[in-house]
Amino acid sequence: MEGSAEEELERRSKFLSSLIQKKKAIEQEDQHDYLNVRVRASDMPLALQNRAFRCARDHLDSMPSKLDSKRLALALKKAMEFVHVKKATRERGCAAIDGKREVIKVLSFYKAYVTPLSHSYFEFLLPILKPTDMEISHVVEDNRNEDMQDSQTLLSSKSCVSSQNEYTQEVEPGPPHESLFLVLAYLPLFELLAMSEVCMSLRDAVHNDVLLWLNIIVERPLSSRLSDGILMKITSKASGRLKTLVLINCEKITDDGLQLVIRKNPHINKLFLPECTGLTPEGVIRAVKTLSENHHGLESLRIHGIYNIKKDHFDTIRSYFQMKLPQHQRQQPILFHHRNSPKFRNEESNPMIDIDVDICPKCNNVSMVYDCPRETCKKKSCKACNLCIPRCEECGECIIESEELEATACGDNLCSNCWLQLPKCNFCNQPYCKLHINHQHRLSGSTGFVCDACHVKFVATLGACYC
Amino acid sequence: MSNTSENPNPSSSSAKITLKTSDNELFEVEEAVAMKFCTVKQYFEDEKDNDVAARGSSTVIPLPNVHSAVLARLISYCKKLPQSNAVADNHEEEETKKKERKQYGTPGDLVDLISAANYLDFKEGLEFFNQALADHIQNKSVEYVRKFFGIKGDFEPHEEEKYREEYAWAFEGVDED
Repeated sequence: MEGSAEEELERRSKFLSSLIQKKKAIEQEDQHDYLNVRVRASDMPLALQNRAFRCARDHLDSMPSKLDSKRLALALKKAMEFVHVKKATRERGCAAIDGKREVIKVLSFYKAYVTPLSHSYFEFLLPILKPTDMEISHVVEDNRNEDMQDSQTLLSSKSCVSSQNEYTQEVEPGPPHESLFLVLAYLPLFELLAMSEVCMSLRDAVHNDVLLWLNIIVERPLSSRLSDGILMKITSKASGRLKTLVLINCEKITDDGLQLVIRKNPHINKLFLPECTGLTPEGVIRAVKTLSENHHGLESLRIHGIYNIKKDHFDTIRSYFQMKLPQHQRQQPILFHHRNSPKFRNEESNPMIDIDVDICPKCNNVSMVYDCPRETCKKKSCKACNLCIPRCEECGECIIESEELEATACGDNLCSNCWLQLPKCNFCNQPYCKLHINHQHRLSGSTGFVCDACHVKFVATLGACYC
Repeated sequence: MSNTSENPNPSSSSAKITLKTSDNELFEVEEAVAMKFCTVKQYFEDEKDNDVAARGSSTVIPLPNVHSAVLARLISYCKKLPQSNAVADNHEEEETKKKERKQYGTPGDLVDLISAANYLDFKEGLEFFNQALADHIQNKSVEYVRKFFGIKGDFEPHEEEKYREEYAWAFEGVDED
């Protein structure tokens, strides 16, 4: 009997305290309504918070039409310092005012400093707190239908909180570090997609930031899985402002899929479609035509590796370019050994190269035409496609007919000079060119390497014998 | 406790600026280096406007968001900046740059460096560190990123499944480390 009485007592006291808490919360809500403030995240004691909001609101109301963020921050700082100047630690509290959507950032304890995060809202960090009266309260309001700005405010205030415990963060999972939002702009497509699945705030950041989607580069291994539908979905994130579209070896992309994307994004100025074997010359011409009719924005085009491009296709494409650039000149030479470098393949490459393919002066076919880096070749022209004049994989120089082609383990061409310098297979004495250097098999206990073929022939069978 | 960063030519005529970090350490840096940090620059100029001759360069600029260990690395990065600033022209240089980035630090360090560089508005550093961190994230799975950076996946299970499905095409054969 005694036990149940105690239980009853406990139940009642719980009920009472919950009632009190509810009342407190409602009062708090009223307070916020009155001040026209919405709290996103805060770790300040309530009394302090209210004081800060009241102070901020008074100042905002008294200010002339334009918000003077610095003045506001200074006033806030003064008010807060007055309360806690003696025992204030250098810990930062964080609260966000969302009244007129200003969130003000006070960066320094000593001197208030305000940085507008964008034109319409700010963030503020307040120096506070005797540790004893610090009851950490997290008031995070999560509104699903918030517009983009709201979510950004949420992000920024969340990230302030996270920056506070940046040294403890490694142990306990929490919200993402603020740096991870900054790094998004540097991530390629695949990593961007991965980041968007990590947590809510990162997903919102990835999905709502148009800037991240203006340059879309699809490389291996994603390229072979990219279909028309997926491409459409990805490009739609740029909301029609796509600038660079690089699809390397995306064999599933068809003419119609490309055309849809192009029509939705008329501002594309770099269209790289190398080795997209699902496309036809007609499809490419249609894409270029659409772009040139709309804005004449197309600056460079990469189409090597698309099958069956004939001379008249090329001339048609060229004519669309010539409308824009009357004098066609290719200032930057295309060098054979640079053709796979990331700079040439991706967006960084020289804008002087408007179309990568050309008509080979020797065989009259449309393909990549390379210049020769060899000094003596500069006068007499040895500009030609790879089939007419073989070139060294390492240095890009032409291999003159008198010179013998050196044998390599990968079957690519090398000139004698480069051949001599490269490390060779321990068995067959043949080198790999730089494209196939990862085919080398390293053996433990010996320097050098063994090529693929010799590894299969000798090492693997030897291993089998020992087994 | 004070920790003056080492200086190759102590008797140089260039002005010094003193920075105070979050853990109360003092750094004396050359003006040229300090001016790379736009936040410091801004502060410095404001200070100049406020009281022209009163204190001059003897003011201490507080950086309450930057830890001393992080600032030390930023300063050392700043000092060697001019040499590595040459525009990378070809493939090989790009490769060496990549290697340099890889060796620069663990992702944990980089995260701190980035937020400090962002706070200080240090453009070159921000770009370099961000790129380095991006290199680290390359080809990593969602779980890896969560574990590595201590992020809590806060999706509802059915939501998560939905997003997984949306991007299922992309996540085949990821490094599971």
